[in-house]
Amino acid sequence: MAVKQTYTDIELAQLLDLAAEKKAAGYRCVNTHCVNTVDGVDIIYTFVVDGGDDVYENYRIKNVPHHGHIPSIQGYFPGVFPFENETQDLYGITVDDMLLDFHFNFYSTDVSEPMTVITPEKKAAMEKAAKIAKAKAAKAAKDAKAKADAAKAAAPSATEEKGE
Amino acid sequence: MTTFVATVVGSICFAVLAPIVGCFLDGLDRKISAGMQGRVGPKLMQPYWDVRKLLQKEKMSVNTVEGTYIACALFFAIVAGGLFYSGGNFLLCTLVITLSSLFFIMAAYSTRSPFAEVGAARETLQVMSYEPMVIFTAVGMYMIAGTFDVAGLFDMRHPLICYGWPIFLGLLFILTIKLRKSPFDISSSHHAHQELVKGITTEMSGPTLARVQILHWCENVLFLGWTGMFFLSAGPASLIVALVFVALVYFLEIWIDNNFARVKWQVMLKWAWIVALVAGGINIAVLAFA
Amino acid sequence: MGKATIIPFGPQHPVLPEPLHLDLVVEDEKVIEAVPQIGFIHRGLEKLTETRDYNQFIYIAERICGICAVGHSLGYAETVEGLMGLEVPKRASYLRVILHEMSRIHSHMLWMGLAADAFGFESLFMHCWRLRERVLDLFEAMTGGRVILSAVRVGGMVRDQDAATLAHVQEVLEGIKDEYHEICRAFLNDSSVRSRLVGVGVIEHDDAVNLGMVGPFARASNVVNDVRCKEAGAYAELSDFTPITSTDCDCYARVEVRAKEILQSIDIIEEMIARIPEGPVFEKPKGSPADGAMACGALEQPRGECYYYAQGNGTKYLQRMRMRTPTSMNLAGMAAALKGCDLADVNMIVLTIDPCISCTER
Repeated sequence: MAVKQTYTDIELAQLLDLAAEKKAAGYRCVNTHCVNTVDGVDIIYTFVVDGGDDVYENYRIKNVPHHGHIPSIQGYFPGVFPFENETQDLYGITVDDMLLDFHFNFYSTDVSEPMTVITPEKKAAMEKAAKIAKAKAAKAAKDAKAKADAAKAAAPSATEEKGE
Repeated sequence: MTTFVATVVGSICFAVLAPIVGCFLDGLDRKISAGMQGRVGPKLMQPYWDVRKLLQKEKMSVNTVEGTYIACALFFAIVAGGLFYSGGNFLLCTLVITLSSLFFIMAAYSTRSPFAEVGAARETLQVMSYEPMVIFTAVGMYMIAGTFDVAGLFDMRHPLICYGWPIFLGLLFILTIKLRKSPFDISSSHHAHQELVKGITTEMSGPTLARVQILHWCENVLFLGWTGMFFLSAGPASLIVALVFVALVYFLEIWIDNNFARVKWQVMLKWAWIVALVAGGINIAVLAFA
Repeated sequence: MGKATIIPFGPQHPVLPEPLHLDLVVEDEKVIEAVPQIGFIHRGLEKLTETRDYNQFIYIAERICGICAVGHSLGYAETVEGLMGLEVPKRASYLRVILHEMSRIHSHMLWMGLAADAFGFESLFMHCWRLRERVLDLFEAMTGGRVILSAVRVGGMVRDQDAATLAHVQEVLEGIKDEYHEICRAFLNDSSVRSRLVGVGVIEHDDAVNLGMVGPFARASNVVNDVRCKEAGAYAELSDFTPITSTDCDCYARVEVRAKEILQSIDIIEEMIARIPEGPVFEKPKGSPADGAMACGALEQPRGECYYYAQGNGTKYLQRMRMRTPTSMNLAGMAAALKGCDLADVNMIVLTIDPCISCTER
């Protein structure tokens, strides 16, 4: 549903203060989830206050290093224990000071940190996309250079004409 | 000596006939329940096929003593039935059938499984709930008929129901517990969808469970016999009248099963004792002093 | 007596609709503590965005759960449409609401049947499911499927419904109402049912807010929390919508809220059918989601608020698709309600959160 939504990037150090602030203002934590990227794991927290503006506020912590640590917000929002345990199990990010901690056994998957696994097909697709992007960028640079050269070539002749 | 012979003969006949009648009653129960629920329901002989299937299965018991206890339970149920239907001592019959229930409970405890243990604990509470009323029934019978012998009822001018109708109502109340029907099917119901998996029979399977099923059939026939006993007299058609009322009572039990949720054991214990004390107590007091 | 035993409840238990494991620490039929354990049905569906493009993924989203199938396909489609800035035709959004509310009716009826079975009232269970069959027949007439409909796609609907079909829907739902009132009476007024539900599994309002509960589970504790109030999609067209709440905070209140929501859904469907505009039902999506684009969405599924998040990466495969289902938020509430209850109440309490563990674990 096209609900009202905002997106803000924050730092990891701001997380607990943010959680405390939202709790005091009567928000509830809707969701916590992670996105795996090559540079690390992005973690997104979503809060909403019912009966207010009904805006889903999404806060993103970018590039938490793989196998890094983040603090738990279960002290403020005890209901998020499934999501924080999922963060541990599926992404390999250790969540410190959880109230209900399953110690990497919440899902008990065969492969550890499965969501950070980049399959060979996906790797090939990413490399292909990177190659295409590089070629596109090179072509765009070449076109820009040619355009600049052409402009340069046209300008001296203009000044020559002017100068005469 | 003749009592002993009569009991043995009665038990053998009961052992043969009661499972057949019980199986038919069970099939009828399931068919009528299905009709009340808007379903087609299973075939009338489905319980027979179920038990036959169970008898053919592999023996997978947790221990060997469980089967022995169930065999004892079945044996004493047959003896109780033989006692009753051969016109023997009603009080002895009630005590023997209680012994059979105790063996059933022991079988469940012997498996040491958590669900079976909780089911067995609940079955013990069930026994505790209905025993007072059963004893009052025996007492009331003695006070009205002057004898504990069921055969003596055929010499009476008026059936027990005339002077013992409060006791009969009390017996009807606990009949729901004894027949394991909602709202009092707390230790093991016909349906597995309850909090204790299958309760007392959780760890029983294959031939043992088949024997439990036959045990329940024999018990049902016996308890319906107790209900019919209230309508026996010296009159020529009393047996027919008794059978008609037994059928009505059985239909009533099916109706109650389909129209009530299961209650918790505290409620069952409380109400069974209240009914026993009120119905049984008042009837006996009236009989003693009037 | 007084010895604590541990009763393993689930994952295979006849009364549980979904695989959930609870280690119940029990003393004399009183539960001291219950720790939930899930993970038996984790299929890693969210990782499939890497190999299924955004049009194909809707079939995966539908199959997260059989009962919530319509809700998930709808939530997914609307989130991806938000991601791509796609405007869905009005008729399609009305049809989506009609199907979703019918899904709520069938889900609540299924749940009421299971609740009746849990407290031993088998005939009520059969009657609820018999009525539910009529709704499933409607689904089959409209879309060809009874449980997994595949009626929604990114950009609109797979097929339109003509006026005759919508009139038939209205007729069947009106017909259900009378029999449904009988069932409600049995649920809400029967003394043996009340003895199993009233005062059981109480969660006070403040605890409900603290634990972040959602859906009818929370509304029974007087927490006004319903995404339909946030007026997104065709729900904004409703003339009047008030979420059904109760102040009793126990299992009985949860049954009452769900029972009344069925009637409310029938009214919503009738209003939608009366006011549905003419027009196309599909707008073909062009291109792919932009690199780095993010969109989120929410939907009031039968079990509560379901939150969706989608992120694009410039290709036809989504970078990330997240579906946060209502049961995951309610697990904490369930664990809190189980403390100190009777053993006989365990299955009632577990059922009153309307657990959909396959949604929770994906």
